[in-house]
Amino acid sequence: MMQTPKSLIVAELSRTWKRTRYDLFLAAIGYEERSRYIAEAIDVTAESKHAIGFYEQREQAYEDNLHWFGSNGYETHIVDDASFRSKVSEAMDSAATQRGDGTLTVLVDISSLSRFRLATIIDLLQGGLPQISLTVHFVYSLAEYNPPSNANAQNSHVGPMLRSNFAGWWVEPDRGITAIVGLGYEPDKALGAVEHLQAADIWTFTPRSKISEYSRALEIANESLLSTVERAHQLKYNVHEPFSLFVTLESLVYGVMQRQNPVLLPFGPKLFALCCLLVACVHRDIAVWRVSAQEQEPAINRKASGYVYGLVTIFSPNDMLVTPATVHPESLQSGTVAS
Amino acid sequence: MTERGQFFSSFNARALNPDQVAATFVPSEQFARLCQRRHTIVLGPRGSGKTTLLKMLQQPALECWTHSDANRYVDMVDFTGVFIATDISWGEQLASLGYGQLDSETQQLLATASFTTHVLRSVSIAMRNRVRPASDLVRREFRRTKLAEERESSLVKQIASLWYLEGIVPTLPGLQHGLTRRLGFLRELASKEVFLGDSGRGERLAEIPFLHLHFLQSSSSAIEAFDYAIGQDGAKWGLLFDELEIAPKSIQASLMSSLRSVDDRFLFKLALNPFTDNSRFLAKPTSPAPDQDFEQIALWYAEKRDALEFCDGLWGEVTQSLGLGELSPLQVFGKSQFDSYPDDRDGSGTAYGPGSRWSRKFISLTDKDPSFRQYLAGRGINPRRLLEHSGTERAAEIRKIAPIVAIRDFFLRKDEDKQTASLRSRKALALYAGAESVFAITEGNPRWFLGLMRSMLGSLDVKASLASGRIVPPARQGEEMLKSAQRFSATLRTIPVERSNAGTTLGVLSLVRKIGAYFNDQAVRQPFRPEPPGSFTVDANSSEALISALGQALNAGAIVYVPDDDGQLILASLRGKRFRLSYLLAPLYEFPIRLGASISLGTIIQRTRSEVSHSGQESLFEETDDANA
Repeated sequence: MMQTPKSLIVAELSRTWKRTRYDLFLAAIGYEERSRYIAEAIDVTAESKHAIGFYEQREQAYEDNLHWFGSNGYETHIVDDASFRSKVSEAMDSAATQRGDGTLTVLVDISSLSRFRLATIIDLLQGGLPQISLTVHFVYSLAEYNPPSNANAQNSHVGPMLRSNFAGWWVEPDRGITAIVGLGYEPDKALGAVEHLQAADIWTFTPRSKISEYSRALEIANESLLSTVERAHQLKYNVHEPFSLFVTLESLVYGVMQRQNPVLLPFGPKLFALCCLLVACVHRDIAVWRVSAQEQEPAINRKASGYVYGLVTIFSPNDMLVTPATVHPESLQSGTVAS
Repeated sequence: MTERGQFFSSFNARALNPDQVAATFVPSEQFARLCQRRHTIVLGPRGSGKTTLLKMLQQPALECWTHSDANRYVDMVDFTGVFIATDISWGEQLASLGYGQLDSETQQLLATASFTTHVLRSVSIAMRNRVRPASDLVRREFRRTKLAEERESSLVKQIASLWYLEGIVPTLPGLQHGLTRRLGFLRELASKEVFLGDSGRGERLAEIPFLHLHFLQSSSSAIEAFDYAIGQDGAKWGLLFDELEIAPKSIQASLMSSLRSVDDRFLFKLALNPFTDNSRFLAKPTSPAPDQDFEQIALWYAEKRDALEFCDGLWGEVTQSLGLGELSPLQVFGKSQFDSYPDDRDGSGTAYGPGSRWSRKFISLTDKDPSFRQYLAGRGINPRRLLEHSGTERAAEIRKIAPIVAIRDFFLRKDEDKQTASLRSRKALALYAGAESVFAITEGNPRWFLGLMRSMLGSLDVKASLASGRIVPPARQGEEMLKSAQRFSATLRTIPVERSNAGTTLGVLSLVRKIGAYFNDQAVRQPFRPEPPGSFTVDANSSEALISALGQALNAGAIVYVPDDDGQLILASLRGKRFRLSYLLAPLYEFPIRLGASISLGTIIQRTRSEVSHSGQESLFEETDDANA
């Protein structure tokens, strides 16, 4: 059952996160080697460790990953998207019961999660376990550069992240749409989404990372879109500074909401998708969409680059709905967003 | 924002205020028909200008419109326009009310109540505009009325009572604000209902009276009160529904049936995609009938010449906004490769005299294309003496085949060794340059037209070049047209497909690509034919997946309906109907900009280009490289 949303605090991930003793660690078993990089390299300490695999696309490094997680103390589960929520919910319930003090500290590796599953976790954190205060560390392993796939998989979903959430709500449907787009390197994918939405205004976020090959690929893939976006609306962000990204994104969304209806389109690194979803937890009227061929997406075996970044979130029980009015710009400067 | 900036920003009308739309609006024959006191269904693909047309019927737009013909059109409008905006993100939100955890009856009730609130809010905005100017740019007063403060207060209290609105400031802006708040409340209500569960839900919702308001009756009773308050009983109001497909089904059904059973107070102007399941509302014998009960306005042009007049109108605005003076499209873009012009004609009055550019193309193709030589010989036409055929049926034939000659001559080269022709590795950049081609490629679609003009003419170097009497270089024209086609392809690629039970899917872009490749093959690679196929007819036995993809392509503007003689524009089925590809895609797939003969779609699907080149049928031209990849 849907519960009253919790209040949210977002903060930078401290360098000491690796020494944290977690109640629960959630990892994904995907088709890319990167899936197990953090688990393998960090030797995460957690009371309970779960690795959840996909029903489809069991190819490339999938079997190796499954075997590794299974052999290293993880409970492994292979579930379809429809069952994913209940599997995560079960794991959290169980960890919370074991802990028993109304708090839970969770580590989530989002590197190989699909955007659907990432949104499902955020939805669950926002509305599930009503009496528990959840401290969740999200970590992300940046992949080595692989050229984008030439395969043109046909989209089967263009819409809100989940059928049940992140659609947003316009109280003035006659306002124009502002698309806030995180750019990825699939050629013209962002352009197609913006055109599909018939956005009146566009802001783009181009990722910068320590892997320089991405920059050129991003330029080429988005040349056509960027040629139509005002320079002042073309922002850049550092993949290694996700908290800074969150703050910028939240501020922009807050500003846009005053005159238009914002739709966030997170392509590119999953950290951008995470930040969009967190902003939507704060501003529940905005929309976060995904454009996906789902199981038809080409399976590319991405390897970890060795760079790991993350964010801390705290979802606390709160009787009040989180509304834009409760977000204060001064609190952003101190590094938190509170309801 | 500069004047130029304002002009070009107007190619997406959705976000513009009525006065901003009016600042650059160019009237058309379709707008004249829309102004009439008739129910109307406006049909057109995305970007075809439906939103702009409807927005122009609002009072603030008509008051601020500066066009030289504005007064004539404004005089034709004798109703107050209420614009009801919709877009796909709002549609998704209505569908997501209650987070997918409410029973469908409750979800529909709340979605319909939300839409009703949106309609009433739009009515309240139109009333407010009648009393207070919405813009400082008013050129003329249109249906303006006065309402004393006490009278307004009393009216708003009466309407608030009819609409079950409490706690509002008794002014027309207060009424609007109250409805904005109600929309926020409806979402909270949906969330709360999820939380509270099924038990007792029926009673709880039954006790909220505004959930059960009917959008038309509620609008009607409020408008009656308004008209009475201003002393204009019985005045007409036009409800202008944009993207009606996105509204809840019950609202759509109610509106479609209203086209026949008339509340004298209302005119309905409904904007729809060309292919929608609304056609089922018009399928019964008792349904409203086109022409009798409502007018249909199509915002597409099956024949390219029909779009040219509309483009000419827009061209005047472009030149004015860019400070290009009185430059004609011909002076800016030059001659098209596919058309003949008055100054092509020599002393004998034809464009096909010795040394003319058409004569050169015929001779050039004859030299390298054996199939063309064979065709001409069979018809008794001497390419070096085209004039000998002037004034006869043969002359008409020469004019008819000229565009095919142009495209083949452009792409084929002579292969001396093999005494045959081969495709040359040549991008179609310059082929589609020239005034008439540029206009045809925009399909009379204002968004495409303005987007292309902005990219072609917006830079300073182009303006300097024009000032010195040079045209925009054909390669530059071609490059920008290709970019437009690629942008459009990206949109087509984004359109999601439903997975069928059998797991088979057909994407819009892959369908369009197949058709484009086929038309290219037929026009360029296969032996010369005077009228290769350039349009297709959908087979009766086409699969549902194919029909679905075609419907999406049609609504996106990737294919264009070529109507039957019966004039029926609202398509109940695509089967048996004729279509062509959008000319915007011509630079990408390199097919002629002409309707051409029609062929069954099944034939095209079965014979993709790779199948053609590997089939037993001999292709005349050997492919030396993949010019069309």
